[in-house]
Amino acid sequence: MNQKTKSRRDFLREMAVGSSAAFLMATPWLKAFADDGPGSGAASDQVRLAFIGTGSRGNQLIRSLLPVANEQNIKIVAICDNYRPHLESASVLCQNNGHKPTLYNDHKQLLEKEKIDGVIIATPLTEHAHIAIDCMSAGIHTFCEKSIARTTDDIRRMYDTHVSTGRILQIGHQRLFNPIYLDGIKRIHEGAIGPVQQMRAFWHRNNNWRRPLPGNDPSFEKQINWRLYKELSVGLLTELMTHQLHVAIWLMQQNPTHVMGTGSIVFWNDGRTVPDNVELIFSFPNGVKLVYDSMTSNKKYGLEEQILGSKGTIEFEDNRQYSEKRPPAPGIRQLVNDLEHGIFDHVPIGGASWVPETAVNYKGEKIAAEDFYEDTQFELEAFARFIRKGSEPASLLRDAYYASMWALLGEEAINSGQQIAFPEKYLI
Amino acid sequence: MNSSLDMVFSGTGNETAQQASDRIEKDAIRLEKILSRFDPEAETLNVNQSACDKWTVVSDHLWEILQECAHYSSLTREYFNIAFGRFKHFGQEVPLISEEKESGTIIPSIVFDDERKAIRLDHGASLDFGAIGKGLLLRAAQKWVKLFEIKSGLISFGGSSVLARGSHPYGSSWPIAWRDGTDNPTVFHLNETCASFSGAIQTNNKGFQPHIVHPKKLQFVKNDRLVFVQDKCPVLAEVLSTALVVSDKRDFSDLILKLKPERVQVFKRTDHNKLITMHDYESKN
Repeated sequence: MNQKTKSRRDFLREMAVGSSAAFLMATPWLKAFADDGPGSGAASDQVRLAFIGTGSRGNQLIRSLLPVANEQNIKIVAICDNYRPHLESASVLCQNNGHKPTLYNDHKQLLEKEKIDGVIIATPLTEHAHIAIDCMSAGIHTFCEKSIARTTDDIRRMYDTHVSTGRILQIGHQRLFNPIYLDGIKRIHEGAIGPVQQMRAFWHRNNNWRRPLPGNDPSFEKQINWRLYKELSVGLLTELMTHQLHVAIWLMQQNPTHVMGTGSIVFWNDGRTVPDNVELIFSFPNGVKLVYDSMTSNKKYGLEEQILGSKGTIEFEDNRQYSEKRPPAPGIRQLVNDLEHGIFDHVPIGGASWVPETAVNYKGEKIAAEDFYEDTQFELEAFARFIRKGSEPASLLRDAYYASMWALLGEEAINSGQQIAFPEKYLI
Repeated sequence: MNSSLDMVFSGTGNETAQQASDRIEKDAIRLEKILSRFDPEAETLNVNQSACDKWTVVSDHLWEILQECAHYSSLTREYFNIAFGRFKHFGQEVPLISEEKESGTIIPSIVFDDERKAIRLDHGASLDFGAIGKGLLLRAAQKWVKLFEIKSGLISFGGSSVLARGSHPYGSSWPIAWRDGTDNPTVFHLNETCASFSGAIQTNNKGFQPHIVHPKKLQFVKNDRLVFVQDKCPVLAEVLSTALVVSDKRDFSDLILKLKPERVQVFKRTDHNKLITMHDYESKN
């Protein structure tokens, strides 16, 4: 077992066991890590999984799962993709790591022929609904990549199928399993930065977001580059923003009431129909706003979720917490340490007077020990644990549901120029 | 004043230390409300806006501070100046100085109306207490540490203005080291006194960023000087340390003679942030 992964899982277990009741109520999926996982490698305890959609994201999901599959007693028994090169590439990957999945290009055949416990769906957005509904209806627990679906009706149908079949529907929001986010949210809920005053999130990239077409054949354009076309995707809102919006809903423990926004194609005038530049404001019941923007023509600021409280600020992607009250100068801290230990030594405080850079040099403190965690691995591991248990925490899907819904309402706000409220018929 | 205020008290009870630090913090807030150029509620910001070429009555507190600044300005040959120019009294004729004659530009001035306790800011003058504000706060802090009978303590304001009450509990002084990135920094031993450091600040790019403006030339002072002044009066220490950064080398002795501090050391800073002594004075008292 990878030693680093073990220590990270220890962290999750410690959080699961040692956190306050209030935090665990806000983050119930953490309890999945309260123990070490499968007690045995017995076949009867094995979780048999299939992957439907083995393109870019599907491939990444397989790569994330493989290092822990044996130790977590998970087997990849089938994979499915209607694009042969993706299927073959995923097959080689699995076989090189001790799994021999059967290959399919039609998910219905996979469901008919395979005996599986769970399925992981990583297809284009418009395929999520019918595939997930077929899977749950066939009695299979389902993990579906975000965003949930292309239309509000489809999102609702998927949710209703989850309820009527009793099958798990887990959505691919890996930040909810990331120790930085878990620790950060815990700190916020415990008052470390004071009441939240504003949330800011952004995701900036600088590329055309295109994938190469096989043989440069334009007939593949919408199959491969589905993210760029309105009928197939909402672009930045569904593919990127839903992650950050789910974090905001988790943090606030409530949903937005309204959204307003704007979006346009500013730079990439290449035939795409989704905006390459979006700006939205989500209002929450207590007046707090999530101010959001995303673009694909400048990457200086990258991505971040900034939570601004009255006493401090947390930045998750940067793994930093800042206090509004700066800590004492290092020399003073050294002096205090010396005094406590009976040491007489010089006090290194002679230095800058007021300098403009001083505020900028305050780098805050780290939230978690490391800056990078295999959160996708943890979310897939959690899926397997939920399967063994037969259920997932309700709030995990509920918050994902609302995040996906609000992404589509954001699209409506951009298209209409109006402030949009949540339609009652979609309340769950 | 955009500087951190650190207070360390030793050999006193927690409650007493807390009460003393609370009073000092309150004084910091009070002074900020008088002296800040950025706080919209502060008197100085409002005076800077309202007194441009017209009379503005100021509070008694601000008036007293301005009088003290004018006094120090005259003692330091106007090298210390909070208005980038000169002080005048209403009706007073002041001859042009050489910089004005050479440039043909009248330097800014702050004019006092002693009867009404009002001021007027002429020719672009504006108040900036950056060179004395920390000293004023440390003077207030001195009063509190005495009142609360705190025998040993160190108060650092921004790392450049220091009040040393008594000595370090395990030694005979408070050994303040100037950070130069080496294992052998220059150390200044303070006992029941105050100190002020002034000079260009080293930036992360390893250059020096000037931040002190020459009050007569109205340009940033770009020398490589570091000045250390020690005196029981923190205001005097701060005023003189700023003046010595700005002044001509030939005027060092005159300034020191007029203000009579306990100790002055003027250093030239090398590229490697080493300090080479240019001038060293110690009072015989």
